[in-house]
Amino acid sequence: MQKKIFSTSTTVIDNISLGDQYFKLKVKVSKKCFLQASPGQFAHVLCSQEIVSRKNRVFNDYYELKNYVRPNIDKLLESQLLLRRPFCIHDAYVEEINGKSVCVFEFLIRTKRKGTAMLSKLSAGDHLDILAPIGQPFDYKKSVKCDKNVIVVAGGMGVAPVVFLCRKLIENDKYPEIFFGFEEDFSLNAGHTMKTDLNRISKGLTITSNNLHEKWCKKGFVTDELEKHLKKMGADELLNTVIYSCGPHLMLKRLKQIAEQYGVDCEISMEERMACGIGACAVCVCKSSEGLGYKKVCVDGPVFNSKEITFE
Amino acid sequence: MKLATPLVAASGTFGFAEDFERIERFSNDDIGAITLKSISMKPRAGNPPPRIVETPAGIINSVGLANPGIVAFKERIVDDLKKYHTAFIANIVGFTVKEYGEVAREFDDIDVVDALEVNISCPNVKKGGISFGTDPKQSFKVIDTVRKSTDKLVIAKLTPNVTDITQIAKACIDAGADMISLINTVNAMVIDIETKRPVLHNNKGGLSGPAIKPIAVYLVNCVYNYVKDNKLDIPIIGMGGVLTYEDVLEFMIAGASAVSIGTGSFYDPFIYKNINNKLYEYLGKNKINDINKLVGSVCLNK
Repeated sequence: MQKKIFSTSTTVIDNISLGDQYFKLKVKVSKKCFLQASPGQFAHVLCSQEIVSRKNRVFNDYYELKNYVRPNIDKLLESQLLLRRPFCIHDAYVEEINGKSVCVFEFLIRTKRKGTAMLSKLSAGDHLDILAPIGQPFDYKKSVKCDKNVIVVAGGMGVAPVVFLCRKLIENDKYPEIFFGFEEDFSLNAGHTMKTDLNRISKGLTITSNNLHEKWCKKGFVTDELEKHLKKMGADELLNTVIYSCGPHLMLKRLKQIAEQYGVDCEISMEERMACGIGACAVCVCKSSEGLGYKKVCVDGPVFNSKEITFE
Repeated sequence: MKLATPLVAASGTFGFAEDFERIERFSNDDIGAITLKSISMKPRAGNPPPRIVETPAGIINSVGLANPGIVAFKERIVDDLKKYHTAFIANIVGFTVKEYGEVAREFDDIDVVDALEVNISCPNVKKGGISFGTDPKQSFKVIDTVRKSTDKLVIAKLTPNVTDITQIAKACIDAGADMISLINTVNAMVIDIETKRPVLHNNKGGLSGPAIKPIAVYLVNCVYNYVKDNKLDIPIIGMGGVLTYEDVLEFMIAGASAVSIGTGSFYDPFIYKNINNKLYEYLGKNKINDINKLVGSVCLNK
């Protein structure tokens, strides 16, 4: 059963640009909200409230967004963005700020359209209204208890929940093997930053890309590298391994096939367009492997065992 | 039907009343009445995703009446409703006229449900739903069948996707509807210009949110005028894009006795409580002792 979701106004501590359209939003959250958060869970973030209070500033900034200059956009922007945007908790930790212990959530965000453009303009001191933490987390406690080998597979922005997950694993002396793949949607700068971050928290890191020709990058798909890795493992070892994953549908679809083929336990984090974020409206669904039904990504997920869902 | 507040949760935006309770400090009891998600005889999976797209001041959804069916509703959900101190309206849907009557009869032994809202206006399924709500003869048949199948209050939920809504309202009232609720969502579509495909898997969906509020206010007023001109005692539940207490007042002045909120609760889960507090403040400030006095108080220009 899902624990209580907190509806809370957080304060932005920092907005760290990772180059291009990527940024990390660091916010201060209440202790009870912090204590309840588990890796894989998300926050449902209100994007429009800052528009109301600082309308003109956002209008001007919005004009500067690359490739998004349109006539009469002012009129369009007078309307509020109704829907919250779901972002998984990228990291959660306690930090000393001015001699005080502060509970921090980090969100890794890529500016895509209006909502994320608004969030990219936030700076220290701004308020951010969130509902959090929501959803079923990665069951990392199981791999700690049963002393499993942990493999983490992330594709593109699917790297977002990995940092928090690894933090929790490392707290329990578990260093995962990480496979991270990215395509043109993930820039070189952001890729570099992620490489440094992921190196710190893994016992082995493999990075793949099909379009980046860097020394630290293998050409190809992340799932192919994973398969090579699994091939080298014995049957007992496979049985004692768990994969945690987040990324685009196509990658997860292939991953599910591989996991089933090698008999490896696999948890995947799904993404879908969301409205209420708390289970009421039933718009964010993915296909269930049982019967003809769907599962709600927000409260039945976002993390599912790969056996629970099917891909079309 | 007496409500503690004029605010109602709109069908399809509130699940089966368990979801918002997941939020700390949220209480279903702060809402005047809760309209449950549409229930059909058989379970329905609903449409494939994507089921939602955001538009300026609105959202378009295409859920497609996903629900566990009446049997599972009775087994798994009804008992949970009993712990709340608010009124419940069940929203029922059928795919034949007969089926509407069958679903309605299933509620005979469910005391926690006070009224049945008959969905003749869902735009997101190929058969049933809206096809009954766009033709006065079909609307009459459905409401007539439900009326004869239940002793509970019958509410007809109307679609705005018609030429003359008073014709549909008249048919429903003639067939014995106790109340009218309107509006359901407005037919709408968004196309991705890169892929040249509609964003929603179902191609089209229903638009809700502030974008449709003026349409809703007008149609509520149309139905209210019909009811008033014919000296009928048919309360109206108005809805469409309510975000603020001013919106609620506008609907009431147009002729609504109660006002539903849906899309707005995705923005602010505490919208019911917040608007309610503001309404009390407004009534106090303007020395209005009964909010019902506002209903239909619009003075149309001559």
